[in-house]
Amino acid sequence: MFHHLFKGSLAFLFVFSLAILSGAGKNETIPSSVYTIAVYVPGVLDGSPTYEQMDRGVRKAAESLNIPVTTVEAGFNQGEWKDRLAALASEGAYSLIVTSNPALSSLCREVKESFPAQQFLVLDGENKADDSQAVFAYNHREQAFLAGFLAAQSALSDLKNLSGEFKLGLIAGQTYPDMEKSIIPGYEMGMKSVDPRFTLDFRVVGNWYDAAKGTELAESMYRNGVDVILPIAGGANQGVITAAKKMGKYIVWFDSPGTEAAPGVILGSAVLKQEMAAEEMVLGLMKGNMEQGDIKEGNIQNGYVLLDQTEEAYLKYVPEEVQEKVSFLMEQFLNGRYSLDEGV
Amino acid sequence: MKSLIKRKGPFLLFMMLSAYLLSAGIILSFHISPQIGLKSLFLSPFATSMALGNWLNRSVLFMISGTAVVYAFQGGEFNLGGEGQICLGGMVAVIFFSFMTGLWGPAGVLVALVLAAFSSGLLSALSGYIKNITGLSEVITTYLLSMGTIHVSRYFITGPFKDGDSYLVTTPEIPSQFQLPELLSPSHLNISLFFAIFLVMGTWLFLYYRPAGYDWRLCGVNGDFAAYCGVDRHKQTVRTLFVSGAVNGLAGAILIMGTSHRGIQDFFSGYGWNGMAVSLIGGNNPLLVIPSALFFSHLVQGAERLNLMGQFTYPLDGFIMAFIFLVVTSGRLHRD
Amino acid sequence: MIESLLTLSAPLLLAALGGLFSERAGILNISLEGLMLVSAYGALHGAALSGSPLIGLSAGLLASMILTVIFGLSSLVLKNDPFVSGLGINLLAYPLVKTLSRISYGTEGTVRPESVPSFGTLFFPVLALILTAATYIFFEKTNPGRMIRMSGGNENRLREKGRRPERVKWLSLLLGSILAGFSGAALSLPLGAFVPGISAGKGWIALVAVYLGGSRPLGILPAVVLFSLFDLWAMNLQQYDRIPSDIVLAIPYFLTLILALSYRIVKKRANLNENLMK
Repeated sequence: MFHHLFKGSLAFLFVFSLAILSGAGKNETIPSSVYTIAVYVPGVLDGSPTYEQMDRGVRKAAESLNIPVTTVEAGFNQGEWKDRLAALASEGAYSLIVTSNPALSSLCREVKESFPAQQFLVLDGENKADDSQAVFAYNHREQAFLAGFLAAQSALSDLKNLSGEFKLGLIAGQTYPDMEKSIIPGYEMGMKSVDPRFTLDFRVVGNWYDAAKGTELAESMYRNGVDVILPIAGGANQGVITAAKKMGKYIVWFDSPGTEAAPGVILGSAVLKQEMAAEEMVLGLMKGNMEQGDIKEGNIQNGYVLLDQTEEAYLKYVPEEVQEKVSFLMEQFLNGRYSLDEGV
Repeated sequence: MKSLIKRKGPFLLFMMLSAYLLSAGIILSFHISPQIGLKSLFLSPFATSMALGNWLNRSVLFMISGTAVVYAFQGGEFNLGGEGQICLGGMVAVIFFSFMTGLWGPAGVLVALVLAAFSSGLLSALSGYIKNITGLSEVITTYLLSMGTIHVSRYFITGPFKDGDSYLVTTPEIPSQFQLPELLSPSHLNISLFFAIFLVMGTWLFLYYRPAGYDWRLCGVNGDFAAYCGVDRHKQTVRTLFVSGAVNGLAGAILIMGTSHRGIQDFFSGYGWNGMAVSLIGGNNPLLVIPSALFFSHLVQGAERLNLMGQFTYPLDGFIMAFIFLVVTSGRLHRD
Repeated sequence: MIESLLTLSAPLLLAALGGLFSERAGILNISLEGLMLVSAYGALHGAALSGSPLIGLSAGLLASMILTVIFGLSSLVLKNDPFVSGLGINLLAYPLVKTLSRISYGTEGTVRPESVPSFGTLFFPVLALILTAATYIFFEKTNPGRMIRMSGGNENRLREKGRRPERVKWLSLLLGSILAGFSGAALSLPLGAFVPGISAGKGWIALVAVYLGGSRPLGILPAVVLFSLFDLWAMNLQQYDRIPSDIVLAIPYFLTLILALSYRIVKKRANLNENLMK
């Protein structure tokens, strides 16, 4: 018996050392002399407008300078994001890795410790000075403010089937720092700037896919007198749409233009100009106008955060008085006559 | 022992070969350049020392969760709660460390391992009790308890133990004295490699060379006969599930201490099911878990690599795993 | 309230009936979850392509049956352990649906085709109730029904009668897969969308409902209604801030087991009393 035990472990050690040797030989990759870009998607590209816009923007910039771009998808499991990012960096084949999502800022920082030569650009990243990466940070508080403003104005308008109870809803897939630090406060500020009597009904689906749960939550909120819901719940958003359609209530959309999915039900969208940001940042980094450690903020005033007033369904279904108030608010922001820090 | 390997070895080889052929076939049928596709699939663990270390480290975790399944199958029980038990073991470690920040490293590691094993063992043993009292199959209850546990642990990750400064859905990193020493930096490979080999050997010795192990396997082969021979089946059911769950708990704690270093959302994801595949490929033989884990993590890593490079964006490893479960024919029938 | 209870119960009831068929044939079929998933996808995809909810429904049933044929090949022909085969079907369903939706809709996430025709809101609840009655009649009054029960309980008697138990098991698996197919369609068609994870454990909870219902169609009905009531209650809990959503989400899983345990204890007491009366 011990004879076999010994033989077995010997064989294992042999394979093990062989593997280490074969690996060690290839450890150093020759850095490419050509500039190349990898787009790292923390999730899946298709069906995620913000990531699609990032990819388009990077490709636009790269095309103008004739630079190859590779897009990689890391899937939805956050536990695997760091390893996959490190795997990408370990190849040493990409001059710049572009990604998006505030969570990626800290991961890039950690990966940089093992691969100090790797350059990163994080769109929608942490608004924090740091040499490990270039960052484009959006002002999510302002974005949520716009959503809250539109929701509250609509709830007071002459739209059909309103309860008049001054209740607005927010359904999140899960709670995360940005949700608590920026989105909820901004959304509440937006509604209270219209009328301080508005209150928020905040619920959490618990994941980013359970549409049935989304429907049930939305239905129970609408039944309780909520008129408009802002869903930030990934796949479960679809369930919220179903509930709103069924009960004749309303939704405001987040991040990308979304009214097409249910015209007249989804009133409008508080969007980010991600494609523009991606293109400009990549160009800036490649031309040397920007470097690792630079942060640029996108907000309403510089045009990266806005309430999309060009969507067909928005123009058609949102009452004109609401549209006027929205465009007045946007103008105030753009002129710098209104900002969240200085209050109303 | 020799005869055992002889009996199970060919099956293992057959499964490995057919799984590799199947994956190669799928890739080629999607018109991916064979050079890039096959290279990514088969050689990716050898591309860099980091990839190599991560392959071995994943194998180590598969060995542990595979051993958990070996205990269950050999005892004639189904433990479909691996995911939840690994999750619980990991969370117990995270929570323990968050209170014991000043503790001496090795002591903390040891206590965390014991606590994790004990809690996951209890969770799994609960299914045994329910089976004994109500007759409701452990197949259903281990799964349901596991899912419930995963949701509760999500509450801990997003609620009381959340890292408020991070944008990830995660707990803070565990103190550095509890992080297992690495063997091949910057990969995750760590000293749990030796623990896994020790565990595998111990399991083999226990199941095949101890009287208690004989009873254990007897229940798996023929429960009625075991009862006839004087084995208390109800007790053995609880015992089997407890040990299986406990080993999963160890896997979870080791996953936290050696690999993820924090309770990040879904840190446990896939290890339970993969462990089951590993055990099945090895015919539920405790020793064959080693080659089987090396093979399966190699396949998973290759599939991941293909995914990452945008060559093949479909979940290849998922298909292969389903294939293994469907053709394996080694559940209760092929146990020795 | 009644309406949401009905729409919530329908998929669970249909799935439980599907589980009942294989249970009666002596197979605890844990592939229900996977069957629900593929049929939810198949029904939605079919309905969106054809513009007819009926064709969509048939596509869902077909998807569920194809997977069940694989299940049968694995467990009945290859003689694999039915639990391992069932798990295989579940593990196959996820990548399969992911791949299909990626090929046809370019996404692994939510699929929401432009227009999905659907039945009225009450279609699936009514269908579920009718099928419950039909299942009852099938098992109690018809010959195939009796044979299926025999294949689960006493294979030898079936053999004596000149029937092959294997064939009867195939029949019950396929009939069960049709019901599981209805159940999947009842998830996606009313929603007009497919979401990964849409089945959310319902296939497993359905199996507990079969157990609680004593493997009788008329027993399953109250069990399912009870589960759905608690599910509704749990969802309404969320409006109170103090109860975290993840805990609320964990409730159905634990509650299912608690109900099973308390049912058993109550029943044991009842049996004890009965015995004492004698």
